[in-house]
Amino acid sequence: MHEAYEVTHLLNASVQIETIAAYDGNLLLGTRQGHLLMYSLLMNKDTQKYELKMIRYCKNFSKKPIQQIEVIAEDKLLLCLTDNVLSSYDMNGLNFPLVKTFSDTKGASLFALDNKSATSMTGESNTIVHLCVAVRRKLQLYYGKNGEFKKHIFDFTIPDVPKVMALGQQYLCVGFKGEYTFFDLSSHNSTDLFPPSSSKSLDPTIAKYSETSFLLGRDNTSVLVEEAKKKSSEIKKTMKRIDDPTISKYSESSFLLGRDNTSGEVEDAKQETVEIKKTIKWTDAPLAVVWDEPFILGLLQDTVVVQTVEPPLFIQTFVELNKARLMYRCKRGLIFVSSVGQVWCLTSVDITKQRKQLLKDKHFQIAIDLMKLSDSSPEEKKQTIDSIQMLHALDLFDSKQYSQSMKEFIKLKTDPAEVIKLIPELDNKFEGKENVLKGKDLENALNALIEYLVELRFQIGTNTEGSSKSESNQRNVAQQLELIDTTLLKCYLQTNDAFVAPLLRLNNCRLEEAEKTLHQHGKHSELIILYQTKGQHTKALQLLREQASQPDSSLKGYHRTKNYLQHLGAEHLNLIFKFSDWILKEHPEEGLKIFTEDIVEVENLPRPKVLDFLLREHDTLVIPYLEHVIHTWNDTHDLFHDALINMYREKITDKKANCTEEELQHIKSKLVAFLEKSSHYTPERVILHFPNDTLFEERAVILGKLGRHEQALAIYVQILGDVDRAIRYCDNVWTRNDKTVDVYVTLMRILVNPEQNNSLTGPLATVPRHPKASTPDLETALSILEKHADKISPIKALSVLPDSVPLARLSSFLESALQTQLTMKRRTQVLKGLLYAEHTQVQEMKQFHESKSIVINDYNVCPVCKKRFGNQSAFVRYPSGDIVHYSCKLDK
Amino acid sequence: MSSRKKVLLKVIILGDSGVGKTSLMNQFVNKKFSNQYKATIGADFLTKEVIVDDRIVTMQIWDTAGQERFQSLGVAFYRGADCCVLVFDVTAPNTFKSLESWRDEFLIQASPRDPDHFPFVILGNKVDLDNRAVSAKRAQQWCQSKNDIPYFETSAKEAVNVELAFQTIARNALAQETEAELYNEFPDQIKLNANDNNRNRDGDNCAC
Repeated sequence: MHEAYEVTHLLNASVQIETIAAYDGNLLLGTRQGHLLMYSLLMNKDTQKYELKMIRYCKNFSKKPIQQIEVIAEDKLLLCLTDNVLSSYDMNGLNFPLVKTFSDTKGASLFALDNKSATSMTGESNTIVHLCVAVRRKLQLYYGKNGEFKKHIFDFTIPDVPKVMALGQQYLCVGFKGEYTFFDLSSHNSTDLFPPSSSKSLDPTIAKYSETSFLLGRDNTSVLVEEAKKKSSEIKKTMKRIDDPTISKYSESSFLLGRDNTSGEVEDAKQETVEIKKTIKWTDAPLAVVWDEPFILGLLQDTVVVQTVEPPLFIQTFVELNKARLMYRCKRGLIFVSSVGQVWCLTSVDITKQRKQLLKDKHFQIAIDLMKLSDSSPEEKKQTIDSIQMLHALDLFDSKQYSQSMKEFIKLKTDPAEVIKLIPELDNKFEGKENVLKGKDLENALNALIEYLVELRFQIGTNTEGSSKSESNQRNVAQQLELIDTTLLKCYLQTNDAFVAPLLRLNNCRLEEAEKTLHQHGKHSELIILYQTKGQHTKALQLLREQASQPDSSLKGYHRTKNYLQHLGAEHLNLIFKFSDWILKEHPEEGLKIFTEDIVEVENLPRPKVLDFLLREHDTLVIPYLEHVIHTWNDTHDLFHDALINMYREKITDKKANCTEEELQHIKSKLVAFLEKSSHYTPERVILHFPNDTLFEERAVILGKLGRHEQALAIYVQILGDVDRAIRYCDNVWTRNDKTVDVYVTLMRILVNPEQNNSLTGPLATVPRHPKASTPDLETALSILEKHADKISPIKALSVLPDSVPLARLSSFLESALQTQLTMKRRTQVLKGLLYAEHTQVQEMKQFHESKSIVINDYNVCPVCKKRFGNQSAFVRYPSGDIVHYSCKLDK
Repeated sequence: MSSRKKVLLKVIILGDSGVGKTSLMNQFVNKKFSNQYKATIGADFLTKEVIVDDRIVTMQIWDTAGQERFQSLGVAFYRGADCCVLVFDVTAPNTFKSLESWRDEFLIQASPRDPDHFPFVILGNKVDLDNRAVSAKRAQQWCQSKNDIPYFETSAKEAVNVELAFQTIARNALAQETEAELYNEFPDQIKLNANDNNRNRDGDNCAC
């Protein structure tokens, strides 16, 4: 059992004790006979017990009983109520000489004191005393400083004579026979709370709990009442009446009120200005209540009971304090109790000893509260408190309050490694150890741990941003994150594996451990993500390859591999080649997308290398690839254009290829179209590979690109026999602005003089000619001449035509040619006239300017350098008329 | 039952700094745009009432700091979100690349019940600018690969698609909300705690 206090019997008095007070280690007794006794509490070294040593005995202090005494230790002042008048006395004087009698207080029955030491800005220490005196049906307020008291103008008028009073910060709490009332010291409003008892007549008790709360006695309980932070005017409306009063101060913002055994919270408490926080139960109605943090002591019939408020726990009982009726708290851990003839003291048990017992009993909060009050150094205090909280957190964990426990760990900033160890399942070396968590418990523990880890990783993430970015610090953070995320991974695998993928992508997990765990759980898909983020591409791809053929695998098929390869990028080109191989073989069309998908990484792959790879390993895909590169990506590199042409050509000429006629035609048309459209291939190089016995049309197109129109036209006419094509060819050349070349004349010459044409030389010379080509086709030549008269030079045309052509056949051509010549001549004449006119205008202008003269003499000064013009100096005249030195002009 | 209840949707906007999160929110709520850039510190929220299928819902839109050093909100802030809006700048490819980690980070922090089906919406902002670097097709492709996240091309400056995008956000968030209600129905019916409390109080009051 925990022992918070020890009781010592101190005194058997021959006098009748009426009231007691204490300060520091001193006890004052006021008697019915009007004596005042002062003792000092000492520890007897021999018996190790407390003893009282009388210091003063003032027999003639008063003629009447001493009703109440209080000490203002800082001012060495004693306040005493006797004969219904309050007076102050000097403590320094031997027989307590009278300082002042509060003359206004005649008829007083009770007073209450509240003093605070304050250090002013000048460094002086002042005691400010609030004093309240109950004089018949009035409450007088005094304000004291350095032993001087001033009375407030305002008095409270009250309905009854008060039994007990306590001063808080904002409120004065008064216990009457039938009611507890709060008086607001600033607004002077009053609020009735509840009576001290619902049934019998009980004296009220008040204990100050804090500056804003009090413990008020109500029947067999003490009620903790706290000032709320609202305007006092609202109190009246909202506070609900209950019934009989025991008041004693609990702390600076609440009172304890006596109440029935079974008290509950006051209804409607939520909207009030005065809030009822708690009730503490006693076995009987308390005579007096004292708050000695963290304990509340109640004086019951012949016994003192010690309890705690938060959490409410029964601690200790002291019995056989016969007829005790007064209780006075001297200082922390020292309380005096007295009956009419006897005095006891309750002294706090050594805190270390208490703590040990409390920890054994698992009363962590009380242990912490006690520790906060101890006299140890702040560092030691913090350390001890932390260790207690740690024990608390561990205890919460053991009692399966995982979430609470984790919250404590967060507050304590416990090393996460320690916390994680609490769940042995997460340890890799764990093999059937004892104290295993099972089923629902394990799930709850894991969920709590997840919440903890997530909170922690957030804190780490934000803290590092602000703090110093030293290298060791960053490494430390990285290690912590690694631990947290690796553990999170294990948790998620057991609770909700949908989080595994996002977690892995954030890339903080430890590779080996994560790999092992994922393997254990058969999470292949997630393993791939792990490998990917960790750059273990070979492992990932090998796993994908293995899983691709597993019929029940989540990674079945080629899609994941394809996807993976598409995101690898240029630096892993060899891996891409290595692992794309099987897809390209089994699913060529889809596989090609590894190199053609619209993804940045794919588009940025080195295309020549890809082309080379495809040529070597998968030549059937070369054409689709090149078509994509050229038509979709609009690559203009001649390498691809040349290669595509070569591929088309090879496909057409390859005898072994089993192409149907239709396919062949399709490719041929593509080839021709491409040859015509593309301007990025190198015709010189391409043409070398073209066969001499076939693909004449294509060759013609290439020759055209090379500007060898005569050869091209010769192929059209003489080999293919397609004159229309030849004409169209000429049209194309003409419209391409190549007007200097006489393509039409060339065509005519070939048509008229097939025999004399030697353009088809070399290997083409032996190619069989088209049957039509051997006979001269004068008619066609003439029709071309007529149709394109404006595009053909008449002299060249005439030189081509044989002499046998009748003039009449040429009349229209010649006329139109003549017309053209005439038009040209006239236009030239007009132009000549205009130019001449312009010429004379310029000449006139020149004469005008030359006719101007200027005179420079000694009075002329250059506006720039302010000097005269010397004999030989060159000068410049501006259009404005200003004259400056030539050198000055240059300066500008 | 649920349709009578007043609905508050918590929407969180995430994305790299300078992609226009604050501007989008301001355009949607206040119909205003400013060319001046001011980094968001911590987070800020605005509310707006919208009508989704004849229901009035209040959207509480949380704008966050894109720069890590200005992020001050804890894990609790992400919890209880009904929809997460991820924003990138179509002229800055890096902000597009970051989407994945914003999404993953959000999921870990928020721990929604069903992470695979938590509603996200992607906004490609600043389409009014000429120097575009992320094609719509590419963004669309990425969204499709992530469980078909809705994608919108927006311009906070010219109010392009902003209204439409937030309408979708509200709709998807609402769908999520109703789904969550279904999950909760069971515990709601039991009300163990509430009854216990009442009984205790009654006991206290009458056993005097």
